[in-house]
Amino acid sequence: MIRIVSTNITSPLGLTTGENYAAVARGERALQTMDGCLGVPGSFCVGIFPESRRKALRLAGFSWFESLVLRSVREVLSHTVVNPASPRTVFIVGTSTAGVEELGAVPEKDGHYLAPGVAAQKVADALGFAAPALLVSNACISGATAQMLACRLLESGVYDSAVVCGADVLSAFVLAGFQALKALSPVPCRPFDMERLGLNIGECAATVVLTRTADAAGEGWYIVDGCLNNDAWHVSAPIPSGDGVYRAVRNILTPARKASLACVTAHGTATMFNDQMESKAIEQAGLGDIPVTAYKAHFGHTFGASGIVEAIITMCSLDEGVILPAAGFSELGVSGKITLCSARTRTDRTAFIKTQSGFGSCNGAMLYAKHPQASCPPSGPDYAVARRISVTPGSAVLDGRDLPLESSGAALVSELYKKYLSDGSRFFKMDLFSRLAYAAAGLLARNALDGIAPEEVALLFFTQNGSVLADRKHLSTFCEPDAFYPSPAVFINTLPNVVLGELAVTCQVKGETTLVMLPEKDGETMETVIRVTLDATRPKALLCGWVDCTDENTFGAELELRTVK
Amino acid sequence: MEELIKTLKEQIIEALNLEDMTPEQIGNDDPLFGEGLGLDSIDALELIVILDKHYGIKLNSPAEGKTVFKSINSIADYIRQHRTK
Repeated sequence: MIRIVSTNITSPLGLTTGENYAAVARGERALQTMDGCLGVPGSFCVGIFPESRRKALRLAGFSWFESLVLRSVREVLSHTVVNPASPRTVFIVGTSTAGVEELGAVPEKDGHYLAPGVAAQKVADALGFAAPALLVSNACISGATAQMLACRLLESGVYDSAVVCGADVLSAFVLAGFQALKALSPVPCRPFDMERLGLNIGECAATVVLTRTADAAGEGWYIVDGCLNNDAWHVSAPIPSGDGVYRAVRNILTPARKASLACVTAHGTATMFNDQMESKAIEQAGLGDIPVTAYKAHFGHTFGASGIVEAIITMCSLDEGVILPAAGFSELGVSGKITLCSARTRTDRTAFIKTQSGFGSCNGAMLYAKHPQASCPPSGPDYAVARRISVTPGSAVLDGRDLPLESSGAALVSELYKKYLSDGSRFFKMDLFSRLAYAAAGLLARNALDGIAPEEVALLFFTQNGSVLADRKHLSTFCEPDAFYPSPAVFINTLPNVVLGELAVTCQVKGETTLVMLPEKDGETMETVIRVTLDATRPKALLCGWVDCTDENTFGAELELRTVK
Repeated sequence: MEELIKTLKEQIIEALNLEDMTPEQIGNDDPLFGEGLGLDSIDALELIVILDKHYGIKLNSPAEGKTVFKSINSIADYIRQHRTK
């Protein structure tokens, strides 16, 4: 069993879980309307730390993102017995954009920018963690992904304790991107409401400390189960039927578990599409009579933090025997038959489901409970490597065979795609990192997944620099004072997990799709993550491996297809 | 008008990364979404950026662009009537 032994929330509403919960329970909101927030023209409603607080909380030698993570983790460690210096303790960060606010349009303009995995390791070193840091970047479901990875590493006995921090900060980078996507509400967001106009962006770091225990005898909260998947619909729009969220919830729901549920804490971003999709999923999962709540109108959408901060707030409220209302909601504006919680409601139940969905067409659902029934640790079948591919600027080798190609560098990746795939995908709209991962994985998957159900196929990629080229390109579209034209297509490519969605859509992959960012290529860590993921999720096929890219002529992909022996 | 249509097609091909496509291959009345060019929701947002960047026209949402973005001709008509640069 995975027990939550300590938590922290560091947000504009407070620097501890207690402060944040008290503020939310009083109905307070971090949201404020600002003109020209962070230099981005326009009027925005955002959940931001005021400038003076940002200055006061920023730690010398650390970026704003790193500072928030450090503060959250330092606070949580101050009240647990978990020792970061033990090699049996792992530190995992979940984030969508990490410290991208320090990145420049060209390297000369970089501030304190570090690749996400490198930044996580820097924070881990400052906190005295002995084991190598891990970072997952799965857009808005990064919080769920990080917690699931932690649970697997603990259940399998690789580590005894895990410190899991979900964090994202507000930046011109993210604000400009979401403005280009026309997804921002100019007023405080209204999840599931008839008059919802879109989301508000927030910033937050939220941390849970997890330990493995033999039974659920101890007081406190447990992560009972979770499921991540892909809806294989579109990289930036959720499947209208809610199929991904539905399957994730169905996978973790038994009749006994349903009977113990106090509420569903929904993703509830207050965009037209997300809330509608979630309502269909919740209804279809048979949870139409369970109160649904959402907290985006308190914190804004805090991306990588959202899955953790919203779970912590729900635990606090159920500790007090109440379900807090979905702030901002007044009249149901979705077609799924669900029960929105519109006023503080008493309950004696002590379990809840947290749902999440994100760019890259990924979804997740997690079950938390105070007095769970014991479950058996998973043990999966044996896997073997069925195919491999390696792509460098000068060659592409598939199953030991050198593929005849004439070009080199970035052009080689395009040639590879044109010659062997040409599958009508969005390939030419992708950045080089995505093109590389797409072409390599597409070739591996071609003709190899026949007869395997889409739900039984999963993706697990590792990278160091991820989408850094797309990140710089995005910055270049709005860094000149009189030329503010951020491109939605370029911005979408700045989410490094989006290529997993592209692959999922074309190859119909509906299992788990995850991107892990490491401080450097590290075969041992990759193998550990692959093994615990296979044991816990038992897909029929997994496409996995390393993809990295720093410029047009410096890149490499080494991917494998693993199938059940 | 001919000049505007040619420029517009070039801008669309570049911004939407329509690989290996030339302005001549896009018919002035071809539907841009669904059948025809097969553009998607992100492309619609990209068209909004083109109108803003090159013609000084601000659309607030893809919904506003729905009738405008039917074809090259409909976009060109809209540009002629509303351009500010």
